[in-house]
Amino acid sequence: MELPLSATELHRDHDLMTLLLKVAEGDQSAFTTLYEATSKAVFGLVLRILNDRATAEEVLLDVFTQAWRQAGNYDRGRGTPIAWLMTIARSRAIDRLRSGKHDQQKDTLEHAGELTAQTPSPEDHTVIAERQKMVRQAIESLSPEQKEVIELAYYSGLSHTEIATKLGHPLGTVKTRTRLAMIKMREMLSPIFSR
Amino acid sequence: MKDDNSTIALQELAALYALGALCQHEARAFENHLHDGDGQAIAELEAFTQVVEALGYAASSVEPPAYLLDVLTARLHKEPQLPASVLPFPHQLQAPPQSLHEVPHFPPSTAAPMPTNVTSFAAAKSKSSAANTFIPWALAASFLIAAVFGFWQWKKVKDEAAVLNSQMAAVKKETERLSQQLNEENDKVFEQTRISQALRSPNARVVDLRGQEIAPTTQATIFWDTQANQWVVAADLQPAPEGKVYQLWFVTAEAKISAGLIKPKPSGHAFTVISLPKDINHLAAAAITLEPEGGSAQPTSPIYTFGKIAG
Repeated sequence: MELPLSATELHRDHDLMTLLLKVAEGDQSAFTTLYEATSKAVFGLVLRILNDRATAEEVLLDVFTQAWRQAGNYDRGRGTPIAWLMTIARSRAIDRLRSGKHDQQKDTLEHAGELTAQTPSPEDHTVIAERQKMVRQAIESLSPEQKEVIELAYYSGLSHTEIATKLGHPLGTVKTRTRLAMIKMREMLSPIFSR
Repeated sequence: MKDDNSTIALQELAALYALGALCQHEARAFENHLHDGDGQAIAELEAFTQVVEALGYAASSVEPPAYLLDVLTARLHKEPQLPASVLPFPHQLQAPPQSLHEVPHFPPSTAAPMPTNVTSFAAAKSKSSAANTFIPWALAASFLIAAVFGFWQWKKVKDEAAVLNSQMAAVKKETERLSQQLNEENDKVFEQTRISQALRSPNARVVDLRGQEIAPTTQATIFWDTQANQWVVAADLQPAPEGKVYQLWFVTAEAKISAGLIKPKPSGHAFTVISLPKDINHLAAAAITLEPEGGSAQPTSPIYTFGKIAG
């Protein structure tokens, strides 16, 4: 099953790319606009990984400082600006998580849909909200076992051997579940990728 | 075109790599495979990378506190896009010297004012007296100016020397860091090369060793170079306690035979190449134990990591 992608999304990506180009030239006004357009999604991800608001705020600052410094290195061929920011955010948050001291949130990807329903945000009608909906639908299409391994790999940064140990499953089972889950999501999210 | 099993194995590696869920040495081996130009592997990885990028959207948006933008803006002002290695020049570290005009004024004369109806002699005497009073003050002022200027010069040279020493220490420290990094990179290249070589050998085999109850987070992988009859071993262990060393064992149905010692780096990562004895047959498993310094003839501690070898 494929999910629809609106033309608004493509325009939005284009706008963010334009902003990022200006940021690379040292335009602080463009940087502020970029921050205002993306910080909620990025903060949501960082908070989800760290489950500690104070630490998440520090990491959010680090993420956007890095974005400011490295905007000139952004390669549009490698993904959308928001995907680029999310990648930096996940990497920073997982690094902080591995440095210890932070317990993660207990809810899993399974509850992603419930969370949205409980906490509607002003972004409900924005492009980010559209993509959130598509990704959550893709996740909902996974089996609980598949969601579990993706959750531990993506949000906890565990290796497949660590996941196998944590769940008490054979390594081969973890690999198979990961592969099938990723293939399923790849199919479901293909409209986002066909830029 | 690869067969189904190869495709499945490739997809598993690509999916785990995209998620960052491969162990370090497995990731390096997969990167080598990508460098070899396997088009299918590259395509699978690109597709899975897009999935991972999209997964960030699954988290609910949360409004960050408004003050963070102010903090961020202030941070950007303080940290302009300059190379971190740029250090301020000595003259930027201290205020410019005061001009001589800023040297404190001399103390005013304390002599009482002369009456206006004095004689010329008296006036002359008075002028002479004033000159006599002024000369010591002028001399004292000159010495003061010279002393202040000398002190300022001495302080300037001292400060510049301190800054230069600080810069030299920073450069020395950076050189040491880069040298260490170069050594680590050389080790990584050597490790990758040996793993690739092992994987390219005919009928190459890979044996996964998993952490046991005593050390569940440890693990190791043996890349069996069948051509050279060697085991290329990459392991992620905990640093060995004082007086202890890790030991690898060949396990057969009849015996456990020492394969050699493993000495991890402070990070816990270890890499070694072990030649298999010619007379060893029917290997059933490989295991790693923690032994006294120098190793043991037979295992004396519980097994830390263990992996079966398929027949």
